[in-house]
Amino acid sequence: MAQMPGALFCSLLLASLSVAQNPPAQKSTSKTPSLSMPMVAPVFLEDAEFTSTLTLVNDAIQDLSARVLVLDPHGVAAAQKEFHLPGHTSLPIRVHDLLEESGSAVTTGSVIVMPQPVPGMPIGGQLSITSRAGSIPSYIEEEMLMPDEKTTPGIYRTSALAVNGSPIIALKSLAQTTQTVTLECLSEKAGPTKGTVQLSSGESILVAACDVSQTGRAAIAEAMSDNPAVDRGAVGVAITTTAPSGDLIGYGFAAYRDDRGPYFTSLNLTDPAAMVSSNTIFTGIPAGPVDALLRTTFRPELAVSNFSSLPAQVSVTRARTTAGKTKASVVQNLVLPPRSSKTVKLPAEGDPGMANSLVVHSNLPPGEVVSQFVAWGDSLVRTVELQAKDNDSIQNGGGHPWSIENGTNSTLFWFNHSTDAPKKFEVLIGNGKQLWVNTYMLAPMETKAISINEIVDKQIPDPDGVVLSKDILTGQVGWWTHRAKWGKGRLMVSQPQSGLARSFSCGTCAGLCADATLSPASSAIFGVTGTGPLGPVAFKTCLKSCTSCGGTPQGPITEIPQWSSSNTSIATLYAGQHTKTGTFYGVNAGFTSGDVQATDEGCTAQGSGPLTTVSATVTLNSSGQVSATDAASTLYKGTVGTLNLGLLVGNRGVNDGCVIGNELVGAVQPSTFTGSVTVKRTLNSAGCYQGSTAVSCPETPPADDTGDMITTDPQENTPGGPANGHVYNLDVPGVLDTSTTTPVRVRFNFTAYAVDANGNTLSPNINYFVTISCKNGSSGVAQLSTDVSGDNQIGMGTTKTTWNLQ
Amino acid sequence: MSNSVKLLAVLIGCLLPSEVISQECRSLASGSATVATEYIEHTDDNPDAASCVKLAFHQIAVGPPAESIPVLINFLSYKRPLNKGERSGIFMHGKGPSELYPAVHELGGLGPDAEVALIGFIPSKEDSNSLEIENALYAILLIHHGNVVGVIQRLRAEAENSDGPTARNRLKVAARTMLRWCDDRSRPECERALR
Repeated sequence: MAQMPGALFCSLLLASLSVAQNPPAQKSTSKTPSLSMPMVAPVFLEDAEFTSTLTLVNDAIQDLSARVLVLDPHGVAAAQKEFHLPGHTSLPIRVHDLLEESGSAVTTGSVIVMPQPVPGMPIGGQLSITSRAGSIPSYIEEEMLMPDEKTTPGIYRTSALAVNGSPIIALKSLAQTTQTVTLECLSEKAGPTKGTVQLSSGESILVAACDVSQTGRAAIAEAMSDNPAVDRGAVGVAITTTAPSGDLIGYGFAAYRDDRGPYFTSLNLTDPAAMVSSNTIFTGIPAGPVDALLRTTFRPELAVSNFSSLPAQVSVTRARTTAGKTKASVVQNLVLPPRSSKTVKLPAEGDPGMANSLVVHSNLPPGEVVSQFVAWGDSLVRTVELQAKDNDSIQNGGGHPWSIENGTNSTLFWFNHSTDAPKKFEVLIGNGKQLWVNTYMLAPMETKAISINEIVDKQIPDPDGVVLSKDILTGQVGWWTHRAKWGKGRLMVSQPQSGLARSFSCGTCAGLCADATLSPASSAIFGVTGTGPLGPVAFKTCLKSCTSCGGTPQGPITEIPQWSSSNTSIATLYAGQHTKTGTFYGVNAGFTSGDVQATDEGCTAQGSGPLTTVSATVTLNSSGQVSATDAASTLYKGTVGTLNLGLLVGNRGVNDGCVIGNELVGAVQPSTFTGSVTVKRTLNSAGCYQGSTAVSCPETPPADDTGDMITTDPQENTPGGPANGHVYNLDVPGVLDTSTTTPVRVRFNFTAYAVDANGNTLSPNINYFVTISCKNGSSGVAQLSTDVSGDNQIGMGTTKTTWNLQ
Repeated sequence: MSNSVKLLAVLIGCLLPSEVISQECRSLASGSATVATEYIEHTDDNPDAASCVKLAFHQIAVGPPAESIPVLINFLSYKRPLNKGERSGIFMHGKGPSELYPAVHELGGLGPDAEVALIGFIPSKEDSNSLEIENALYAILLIHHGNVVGVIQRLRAEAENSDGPTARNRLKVAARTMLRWCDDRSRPECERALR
C-alpha cells in the first residue's frame, strides 16, 4: 500500500491511541509511541483452535525497538509491550504470551505495531494464524499493513478461489467516528450479493463478505464447517467505506476442508487508487512437483475478478527458468465480462525448484482487475499462496524473517519482470552477528531461487569471504533491485512435514545512502609532486522513504565511485578515478579535499577526505646561534657547550676538539601544517685522514646521518616561541679528543631534505660540505690545522674528499 | 648461551676478527632479539664490532615494544665500542649519550611507549646520579626532541601521581636534574616548571 503523508499519519496515531484505552498494568515501561508509521494486523485469533504469532523483522544494521499493542474488538488495549530488535534479526512474538502477561482473556481483535521512528521503516511484520482444528495444522498469513493514503470513499478489492459459502473479511477501523462499510461479492457461479456493516471508532470485526449477517467467530466456524454451502467458484469482493481509505484496514481469508480438516488461503485487499499498473506479478510459483516441498505436486490456479463496468481483456504470461534457461509464454487469454469473476487454470508443470513466475495483464485501468493465485498441493502442503504485486510498485525491495530451525527451509525467490536487459539484485542475509552480502544478475523474465539453508549448510562465502554461522538458525534477509519496476521477490519459509509453505513479501524501498566512508585512509598528506591515497571508499544501502534518498543504513553496497579534487591548484587526482581508492598528486602547498561520489538511480552518496600538499624548503645555518624556536638547542648545547654555530675549536662542553656546528632548517608550507616533518641528512661521500694517510671514517657513505638532535613538530611551542612551520636538525661533525699533533682531517659531502611521517619527500635536496683538519696543539688543547688551503669550512655544494682538497 | 652464539664464539677463535664480525652482522640482520641480546652481552671492544653492535640494538628495538623496551632499559649503561674512525677522533654528531650508548638512541626513537617505561624505571634506582638514570633522562629528552621544559613537567606530574614517597621524591630529583639541560632561553620556564 502506498505510504501516508506525515500529517495524515499523525491523525491516525491520535485515532490509534485514542482507541487503545485503559491499558492494563504491565511491567514494561509505558512509552508513548512517537511519530512513527504504525503497522496494523486487523485480526488475530487466540483460542482453543487458533494461535497467533507476530513476527517482527529489522531490516536495518542498527538495533531498533517496536511497541506491540494487542487490541480487543472494541479497540481497547488488552496488552502492550516494547521489544528490542538487534540489527538484521527477526523476532517471533506469541500473542498468547502477551495476553497472558497482561492477564487478558481476549480471544480476538487486532494488533498494532509502533516501530521506533527512523527513516525508511526498517521494521516489518507479519501475523501468522495457525489452526489446529484438523489433523495437521493449517495457516493464515496476514501481512502487517500501513494505512493507505486517504482517498474518499475508501475502496478495497480482492479475489478468492473456489469459495464455498463466503470469504471472511476482517475490518479494523482507524477512524474516530463510525463508518458504514459495504461489501459486495462478484461470484463466478452464483449471483452477486451486497450488504453493509457499521464499524464504530477503533472497532474490529470479522464478517462473511457474501453474507454480512454472519459475523465474528461464528462466521469463521461456519466457513470451516462441512455444512453445505453455496458453491461460488471464484469470488471478487469489493469493500467500500464511507470513511477515507486510510481509516479502514482490511484483510480476508477463505476457508476450505479436506479429510485432514480445514485450511485457508489469505486474501490481501488492494486499494485501486494505490495501484500504479495493470500488470500483476506473482513470483516463485509452484507448478507440478516441487523439490523443496518433498515432491508435493501442485495445481496452480488464478481467481481473476473484474470490478469494472467494462469487459476486461486479460492475459496470463508464465515465465519458467530451468537449468539457466528462461522461457516466457502467454498461457491464458480471456475476456472477463464486467463485474464478474473467473477461475483460470494454469499448466500444472513447471520448474521443480519453483523458478516460475506469472504476469497477469489487463487492458483496464490499474486496480479494476484483481487476481489471486493459489497452487493446490496433492499431499503434504495443501496450498501455496502468494501476494499479488503491482508491476510498477514504487517499492524496490523486501525484508523478511528467515529460519532454518527444526528442518525449516527458507528460500528467497526473485523475478526480473523487465524485458529489456539483465538486472542486478542485491541481497543481505543477516543473523544478528554476521551480514552476508551478494549481488545476482537475472536475465529478463528470469526467476531465481536462493536457498538460505544451502548458504549456511555449505558455508558458502559471500564475495568478501563472510560465511554465516551454522549456530545461528534465524535472521533477516533483505533484498533490493536498483530500480522499482525491475523485479519482485518473496521469501518462502517451508516445513512440508507440517504442511507449511509460508510466504513473506513485505516490501521496502532501498537505495544508496547519502554518505560514503573512507577507511583506513581518511586523509592524505603528501609533498609537491608526491602522491597519496584516500580510501578505500565504502558505500551503504539505506532503507528510505520511497520518494526520497537517504534513510536508515541497511548494509554495504558496491558502487562505481568517481573521485575528484576540490582544488586542483593544490592537488589533482592522479589515479583510480573509478576505483575504491583514489590517489592524489600534490601540485602546490596547501589544504584541499579529495571528494568521491557515486550515483545510483537518482540517489547520490558522497564522501570527502582532507588532502594536504606539503612542501618544505631546507636551508643551512652555519653561523650565529641556534634558532630561537629550535627546541633541540638543549641537546646541542649539552654536546658542545654553546649555542653558537660554525667552527668551534678547543675545549667545548665535555670534549676538546674541532667541530662545525650547523643547523638545517626546514620551512614547511602550509606553515600551519600539524603533521610530523623531519629534516634528514645523508652522507654522500667522505674522506678521513691522519696527515695524508687515509683512515676509516665513522660512517661509510652513502649513509643516513640524520642524528638525534632534531625537532619534528612544525607547530611546537618552544621557550623561544611557536615554531610556526619550522623543524630543525642540528649537527656537530668534527674531530674530538685527538692526542696527535698530526692533523686529523675530515671531508664530508652531505645531502639534506625534508620528509613527512611516511617518509615522503617534501623538499628539494640541498648539498653542503664540511672540511676540518684538527690536531692537538702545543698547549694540549685542540686547534685547527691550516696547512691545506680552503680547509676548515662549511659551505653549500660539494668538496673534494682528498686530504689536500685537490 | 644459545647455540648460535656458541658457534660464533668458536668462529671468533678460528677466523680473522673482522671476517667473523661481518658474518655475525649478517646473521644479526635476520636474527631474533634474543640472538642480538646475546651478541651484545658477549662482544668485546673490537672496533670492527661497533656497527654490528648498533645493528644488534636496532634489531632489539624493532621487536614488540613490550619485549624490546625492558631489554633496552637493561642496557642503558652499555657503552658501545668505538669504530676505527672514532678511535681516530672523528665523530659525526659529537660524543653525546645517544652516540655512545645505543640503548639511549633506540629508546629515544621509540617514543611514548618508551617514555612510560623510562619514567617507571627512574624510581627504581636509588642513585639519581647513576649512569643509568642520566641516560634514561637523556632518552626521555630525546623523545621530547630536546624540549626540556616538557620533560620537567612530565616528571613533576608523574611525581605527583606516584604511589609512594620514595618514588615521588626520586622523580622530583630527576626533574631537578634536568635543569642542567636548560639553556639561557629555557631556564625561566624550566624553573617555573619545577615549582
